[in-house]
Amino acid sequence: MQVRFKEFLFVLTFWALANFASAQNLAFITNQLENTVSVIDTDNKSVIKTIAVGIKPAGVVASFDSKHVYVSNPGNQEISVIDTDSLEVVKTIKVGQAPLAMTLSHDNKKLFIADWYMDTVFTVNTQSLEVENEFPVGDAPSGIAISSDDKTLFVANKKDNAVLFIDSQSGKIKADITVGKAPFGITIDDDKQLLYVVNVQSEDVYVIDIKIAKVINTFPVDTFPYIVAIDKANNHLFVTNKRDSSISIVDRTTYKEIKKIYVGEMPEGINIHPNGQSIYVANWFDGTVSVIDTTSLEVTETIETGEGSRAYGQFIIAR
Amino acid sequence: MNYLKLCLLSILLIPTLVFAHGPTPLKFDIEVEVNASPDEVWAAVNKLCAVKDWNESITECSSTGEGLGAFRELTLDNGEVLKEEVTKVQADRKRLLTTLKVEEGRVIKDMPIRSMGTFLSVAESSSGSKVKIRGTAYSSFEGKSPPPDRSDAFCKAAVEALHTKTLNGLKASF
Repeated sequence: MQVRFKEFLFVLTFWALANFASAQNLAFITNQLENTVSVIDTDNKSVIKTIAVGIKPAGVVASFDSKHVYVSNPGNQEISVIDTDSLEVVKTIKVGQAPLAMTLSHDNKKLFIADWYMDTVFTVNTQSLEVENEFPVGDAPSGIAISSDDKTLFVANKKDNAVLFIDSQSGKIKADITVGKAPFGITIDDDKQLLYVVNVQSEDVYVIDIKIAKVINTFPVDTFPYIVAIDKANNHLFVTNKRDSSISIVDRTTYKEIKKIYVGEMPEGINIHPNGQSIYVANWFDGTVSVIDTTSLEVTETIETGEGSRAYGQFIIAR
Repeated sequence: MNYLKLCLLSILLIPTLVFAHGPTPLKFDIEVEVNASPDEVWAAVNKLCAVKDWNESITECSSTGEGLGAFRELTLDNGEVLKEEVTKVQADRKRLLTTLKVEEGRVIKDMPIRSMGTFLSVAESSSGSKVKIRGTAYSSFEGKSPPPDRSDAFCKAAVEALHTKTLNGLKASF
């Protein structure tokens, strides 16, 4: 009886561990200079697999159901589709000349891809993997986001210093908003119905009110900023400053800087973890990922990934 | 519209397509040990035209001053001129950022880059100082298939060769 109880405990523990493991969160970091994706298990902060993808992988977007991760490879004009169970590339999609920024419809059925050289947004059907649509946008589309109702795409065009609002079905341009110099990352704040547009050369962030399609605020950040991540619980914005190797942490209401922290060299892609406890940022120059505690606002871990870690987009899955 | 534009451009065989720089930078990362204190080295590297004394490939240098916002023009031994701006000075971290922007359409001979951001940093080390030149550059070629003498690898080698001469000269000057 005693033995059986121990056995039972063992099985129970094993079962609990197995379930715990299957509930892991994963971060998919594109390594632009080595043509791979590092998969980080965010529970133990370690790389569990390195997946070969296309050439010069840059953009990344995880599906809302966490089943797939799409990686854009501007170097060979291809999207790699990663299955998040097998952690293998299960499909590839040839598209455009330099696919970079991407976003997904909330039903995961449409993948929107901004092409840097073709000044075009492609719509790919994620079931058939066929290009369904292509819309002309502005010069050098660098960032893309989608509205909560999937009806509108927001595209930052770096060489036009502008953000376009585009009908996601017809491609019709609904608004053309002048922003700062050389806009790059564009992040939607669903709760507030705002967009945060980061301008690389004017070194500031423009806040656009989606309902009125107007810039309602701007705030300065540091050298060569790229993109914003949102911490709703603590009401903070995190902005990567690539050539300052820092993160500007800004109040989400007043837009005043709360703190600046140094991370690895040349941070770019940044996400909040689904549990809200940490921010993950990919450091392009160092080939690492810095983990920032959202309460202490300090770097708590640095994880080795691969050469040219970029992770431009939504790169953490919750499952 | 965009297809038409691209087709017309390719028909006209315009050699340098006018685009924003490409989506992928190249990376350079060089370092050297210098037998001097970080303060001494930091003072030396903040004189913008001292680089002419260190690097034999630089035949002339002029600057508009020193520090943030100053420009320097470096003339290389192949006749090319590079105009760089000091875009960041972090005295507390001993890091200096210079930025090179090349006019659209211009192709620098032997180093065909479109732009470059160069960090020079000085840190304490057992031999005195460790000086690093690190940064990113973009090839001036925009498109899918650059010729070998416009490729990222070609640009990277050229940029590294230039910076290596600077660092070796800096080391020899102490």
